[in-house]
Amino acid sequence: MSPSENRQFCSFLLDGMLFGVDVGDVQEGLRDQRITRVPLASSMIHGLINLRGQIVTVVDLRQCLDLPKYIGDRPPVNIIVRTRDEPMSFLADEIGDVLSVSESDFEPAPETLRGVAVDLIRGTYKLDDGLIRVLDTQQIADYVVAKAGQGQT
Amino acid sequence: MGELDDFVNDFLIETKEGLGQLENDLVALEENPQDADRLGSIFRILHTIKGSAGFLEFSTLRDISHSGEHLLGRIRNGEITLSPALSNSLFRLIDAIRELLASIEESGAEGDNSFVELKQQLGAADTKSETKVLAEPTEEKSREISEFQASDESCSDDTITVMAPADHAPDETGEFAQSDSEASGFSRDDITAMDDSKNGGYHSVQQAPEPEPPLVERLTKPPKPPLETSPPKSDSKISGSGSSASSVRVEVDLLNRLMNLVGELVLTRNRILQVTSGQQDPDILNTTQRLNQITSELQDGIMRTRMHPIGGMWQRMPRITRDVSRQCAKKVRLEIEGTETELDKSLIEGLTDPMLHLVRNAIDHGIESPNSRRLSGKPEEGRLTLRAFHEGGQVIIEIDDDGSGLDMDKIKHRAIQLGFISSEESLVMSADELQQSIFLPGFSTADQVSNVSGRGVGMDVVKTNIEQLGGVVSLKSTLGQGTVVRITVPLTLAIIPALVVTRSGDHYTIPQANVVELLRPDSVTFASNVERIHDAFVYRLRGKLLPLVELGNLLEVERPEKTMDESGAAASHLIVLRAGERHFALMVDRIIGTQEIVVKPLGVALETIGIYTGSTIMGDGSVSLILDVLGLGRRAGLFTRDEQEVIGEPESMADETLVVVERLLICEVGLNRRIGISIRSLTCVEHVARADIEYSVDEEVVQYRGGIMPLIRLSHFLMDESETNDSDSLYVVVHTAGDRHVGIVVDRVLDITDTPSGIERSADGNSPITGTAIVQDRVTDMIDPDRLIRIAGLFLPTTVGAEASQEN
Repeated sequence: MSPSENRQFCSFLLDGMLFGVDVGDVQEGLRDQRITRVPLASSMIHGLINLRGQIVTVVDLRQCLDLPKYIGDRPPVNIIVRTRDEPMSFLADEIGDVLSVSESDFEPAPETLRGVAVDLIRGTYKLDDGLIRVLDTQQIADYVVAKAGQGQT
Repeated sequence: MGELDDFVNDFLIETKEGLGQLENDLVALEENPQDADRLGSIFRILHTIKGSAGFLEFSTLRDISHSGEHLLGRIRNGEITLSPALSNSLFRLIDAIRELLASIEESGAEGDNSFVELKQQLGAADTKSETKVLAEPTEEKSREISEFQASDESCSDDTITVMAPADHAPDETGEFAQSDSEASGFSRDDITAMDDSKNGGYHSVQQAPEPEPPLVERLTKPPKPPLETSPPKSDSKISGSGSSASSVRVEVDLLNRLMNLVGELVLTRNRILQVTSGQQDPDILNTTQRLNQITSELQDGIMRTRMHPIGGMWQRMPRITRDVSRQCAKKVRLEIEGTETELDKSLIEGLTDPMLHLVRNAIDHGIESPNSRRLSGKPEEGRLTLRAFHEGGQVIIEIDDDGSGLDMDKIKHRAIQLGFISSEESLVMSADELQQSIFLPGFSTADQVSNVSGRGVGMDVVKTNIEQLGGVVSLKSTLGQGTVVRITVPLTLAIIPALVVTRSGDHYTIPQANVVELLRPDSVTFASNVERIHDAFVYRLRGKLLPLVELGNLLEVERPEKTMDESGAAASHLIVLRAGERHFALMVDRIIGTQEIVVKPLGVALETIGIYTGSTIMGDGSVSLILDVLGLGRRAGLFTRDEQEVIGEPESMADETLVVVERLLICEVGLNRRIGISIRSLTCVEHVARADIEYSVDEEVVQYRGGIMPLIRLSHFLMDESETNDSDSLYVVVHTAGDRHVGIVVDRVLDITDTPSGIERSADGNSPITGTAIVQDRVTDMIDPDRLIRIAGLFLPTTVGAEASQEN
């Protein structure tokens, strides 16, 4: 089991689908954070949280991926990820295990994938019982920042 | 490798510091070439740089510092004197070292530039001035030489000192501990370099044998005297490095992290205090109290680590002053006061560029050429003072020159020329207002664009930069006497007092600096003072109409159809805010109170919204957004509409007795009678030819801006029929209400001043005089134009519409 052939992803659920980000990007997962909304910000920005004195922007991943709004009983989970400029929080319905996958199971994103997902989903890995869709952390951060600039009226 | 990197890093930091000192010493030496202490200090710094560069194998850096050191050695020996060309070369050497340092910092290597030209200059200047020196009397020189012998340990022939570290050590003070031990490492190169320079020197020696004796003398002199005489010199150096030994360099990132953690600790403490407030156990109470105290002290201490004396930033100023004054062919003496004044590090960084600009400006535009200074009876040398001090929890920085000052006529002319103001406006503008107009974008009075400044992008950038730091910049200038630019900034940007408000359940904070006043009108007062103009609301406050915006609507957190009347009835917490020059009223659900907040930056994704300046953490650990008042105003459309339209609505003509008067136009009417009119409601002062006066019914009118403007003879209302102005034209002060103009005829316009404080109010409602005060030692009657118009019976509110349609 050579490390170059195995990748580890922190998995999470969005709208019943399994997603993942590189485990190296993830700082921690937090539930029950008090989120301050930011009026006039783009809909992808869910708000701000206080992470031990540091203000972290919470990104609504469902909004980024054009998925329907979350309506669950349990509060969503903040997955704190490191990006180039600053840590961000990705909001997920539920956080899962760290999954180890083999590089040979990688499939690039299908060509039929449309819209924003093309840039944000790096590809998928086949698992025994389904797929894990891998998101590019930095791409999402860039996308959110770019859209925030555009959304300005 | 990592170790070497650390060395390089230390080297870079210390060398940069050394260069600052070097630069200042050189400027001082230029002023006073006989200053042996300065020369010694320059010498030592260059020597240290050379030594460290040699150790770290930066050969270009070593070589050029060597050339400089060599040159200085000759100066120190009295072989040559410091000519302007020579000092220029030395300054260029400093620049070259900086360049090399920058390159090392960036790429780890010195880069391709080997500064051959500079080395030649340092060498060439050497030979040239040497021949010149020949003409000078040898006696004086040899006296100088003997003076210099004392400190002389490593001049043109490094071999002596390099090979004798004991001789050399007291001077080095261990600032670069490695440089001594490494000295022998580069001495061989030095010898070759020395040989080269010696050869270069030798040619001149052949022509000029005189400079040679000192060298021989030095070689043969006993080694003892330098040891005895050098300690006084190294003393100052030692005390200098002694202070640096008691301080530690800390990464700003680490400090910021500590700040955050302390902030968290404060919050945790707050929670502990809450939890234990019901406890009776004295042990717990004592412990929490102690925790409370220590936390506060810790917070205080961490805050202080961010404070830096302003002197660090000013270290560059002597060099800049020197360079700029050279470029402009001016003589300038720089005075610096209050270098120990402390302010936040980030503020110092933000202030550097504006300061540099202002200093350049003062020398280029402010201080006159030596010639014209002499002609105007001033000393040839101009004075530029940089001053910093604390006042009222703020830091004041002044850039004060004794130059020509601002020429108001020139500024007025220029402002009109550039279309910033109309010629009418310029008449009613006070000198002060006019002076501030140099902060407008694109404004420059420089007749010619100079290399230094005068591209017209200066002062507005200065102003913007300083305002971004939460500061204010103002300017005071007296023609012929000089200009003072005053910058006021808060002590720190990290902690500011702010007002906490709520809207729709969210907390927002507003920087206290923007808050003018808080209002809590009851629903009846609110309803009677709020007015609707189409879709906009205004709030009447002491006779002034303020644009009224509702925070929920502005942030779109409330449905827009919810009107001001509905929400106003329920809650009317109003905050009068200052956005630039404008005031407006902001309505919120509740005003919680003022508190000191720690400003935290927003994430990159939120910076573009333009309505928040940052965020902060509240006592309960939640995040609160800091509102950008300028951004709020902009979003409310405050700057798209002309203020006149909002404030001058017909409502303001209603029976308001108390008018907020700010600045007064002082006019003369009749014989020696002075009146003052608030310039707030005035548009301009016009010259009207008597011949242009026409009559409509029984009113005097003139045609004005495509309409008819009735004239009011002020003298008729002051029971003083004698008009003393018998020239062909009248002074007409134009008062504007809505889209109507009324001309008030006065005999002379004298001045614009501030409203005096002691106005004796007059009770007579049928006189246009609202009060009397002493202005500029003269009794002056205050005139309310609105009341004057009412008494004159001109367009009463009911007939406004009718008259307007008749006219058009």
